[in-house]
Amino acid sequence: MRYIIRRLLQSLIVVFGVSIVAFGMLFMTGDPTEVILGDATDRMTVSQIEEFRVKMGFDRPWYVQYASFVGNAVQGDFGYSFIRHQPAFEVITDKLPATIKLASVAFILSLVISIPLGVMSAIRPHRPLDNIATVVALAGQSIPSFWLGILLIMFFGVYLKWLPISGSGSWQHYVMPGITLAAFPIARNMRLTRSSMLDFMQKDFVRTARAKGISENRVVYAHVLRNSLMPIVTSIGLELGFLLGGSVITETIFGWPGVGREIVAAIGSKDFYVVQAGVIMLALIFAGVNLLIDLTYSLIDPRIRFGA
Amino acid sequence: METTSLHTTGSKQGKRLLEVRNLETKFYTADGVVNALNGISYSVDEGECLAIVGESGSGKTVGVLSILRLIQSPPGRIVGGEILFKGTDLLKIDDKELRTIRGGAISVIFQDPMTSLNPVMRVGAQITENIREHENLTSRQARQKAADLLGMVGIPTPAKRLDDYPHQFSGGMRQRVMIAMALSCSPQLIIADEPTTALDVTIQAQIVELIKSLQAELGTAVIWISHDLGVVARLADNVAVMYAGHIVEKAPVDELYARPAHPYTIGLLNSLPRLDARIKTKLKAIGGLPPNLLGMLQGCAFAPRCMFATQICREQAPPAIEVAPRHQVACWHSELVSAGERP
Repeated sequence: MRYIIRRLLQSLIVVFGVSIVAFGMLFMTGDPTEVILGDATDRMTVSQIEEFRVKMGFDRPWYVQYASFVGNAVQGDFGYSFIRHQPAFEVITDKLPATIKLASVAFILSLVISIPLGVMSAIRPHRPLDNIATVVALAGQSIPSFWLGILLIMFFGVYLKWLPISGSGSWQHYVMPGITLAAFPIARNMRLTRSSMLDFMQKDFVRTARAKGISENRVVYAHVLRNSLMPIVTSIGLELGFLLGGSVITETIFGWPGVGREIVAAIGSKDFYVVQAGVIMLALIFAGVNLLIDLTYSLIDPRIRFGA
Repeated sequence: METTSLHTTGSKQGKRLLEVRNLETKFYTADGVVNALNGISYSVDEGECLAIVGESGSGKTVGVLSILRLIQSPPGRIVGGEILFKGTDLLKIDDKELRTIRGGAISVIFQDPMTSLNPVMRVGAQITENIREHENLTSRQARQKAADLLGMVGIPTPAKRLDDYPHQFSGGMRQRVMIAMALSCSPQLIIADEPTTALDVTIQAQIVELIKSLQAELGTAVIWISHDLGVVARLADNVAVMYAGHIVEKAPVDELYARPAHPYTIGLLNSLPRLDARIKTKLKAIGGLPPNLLGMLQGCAFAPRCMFATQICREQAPPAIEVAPRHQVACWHSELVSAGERP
């Protein structure tokens, strides 16, 4: 329990740090009034601009502004998007479901492929299956996702016409972006599972397990895999964070209406409040996922649970 | 040497339980072939305690792990010999049959209790896993049995400790857990691979006494691997001395300590610290280093370190000869050696 509370406090510190950065972003690029108004300043009088500055509260000391930024943010108020004409927070949350759905597909796909393949490779290293898996992993780790995405579109979308090349809606829309997003995690987790398993197979307690006469399956799954999970959980946790943050490239290639694409669009159009809301949202997701990883650690390893 | 009062010789021995013949194990490494076992033979009778002694790397552990085919493969491979357990060659049976023997009729107590238990599994589960593999018990019955076993090896409040993890036990207590696990299916043979080496001296004595009393009580045969001749004197009926993958001398324990016939055995005995020696007397070490087991050795493996060595020792490996009843030695000059003469 103390472990969980300690981790929770650490997460809060991280979110606090990110909030300062997100807040500071607006000031790092110059006068926020001009940044937000942009070209519109050409058509405004000085007094109009000054009026806007006061209305937005940019005339106050920075710590007062930060306090009100945090005060509003905890209520879900991140300001108003002048481009989307809706609250900045809503701009992000509107796009979140699409990202979460795609992330879930990619995440599950990567888990169900990478871990079993990694286990199989580790059980019979340097055999045909392991060699094939090694080549696939090498490809998955080295092919950039934009190129893989384009290849998939050309082959399955344009040439075979099996799958829709853009947008979202039906289950078919998930296939190509899901594969594109999952390719790298599959490759990495497979190799990680393999090396972690091979590491633990040399351990004394595995020999003890074999000396009991239990089946090889039980040796592998009950003794080796459970111990090998720690580095794997770390890796898949981080991936979940990245996936939930939305992938800019994949979402752009497949025209997926997700968070990543929205944040990049907001940066391009200097829609600062949306960027701030997005950054804070990402920080919260990462902090949440990290907390989840830590909790999983304590489930897997009793030495962490008991603070040994 | 005063050892007779500390153990019983011969009386509890019964039928032949295990017979190892010309066992050869090699490790195929990147650097070449390591000849870990070069055709060793020995036998264990029911209820007997055989000690196998030798320095690190002499093949003691590989020798006993080969019995249950527990050596890491690759790189290890048993390339020849027979391991007859109650008449069945363990090298010829399939994996399924072997599994009924592992943890059932033959169990192992490993050297390092700190690493030999699974850190993320409750000790109760690790013991019942063994029991349920070999005996037809419900999980509740198996749990009860595990608690009884923990009590038998001297762990207080055993029923509660079943739910603890290995890190919650001290080293000596973990070795007791290992012993409980090894005893769980009433094995006919226990292989104890240096079970006290990783423990401090007072705990060592407790574990030795525990295994001795359990052996007396249950009549289990034991193969005790050790490099500690003091411990061996207290436990063993017979002793086999290993050097460079060979058994160089084999004898009943009193005979071996009283009339060692191999120069290496004498070296081992001389290197023991003695209570009756003057304090300033230095321990006598055996000069030189054990041979590299990569590649084939010519002649007697001990020859380079042996004060008795002659031309023949360097050219031909000595055969095992019987110098007294049940006392075998592989040395060209055993008569000289046992007569205590110096060349």
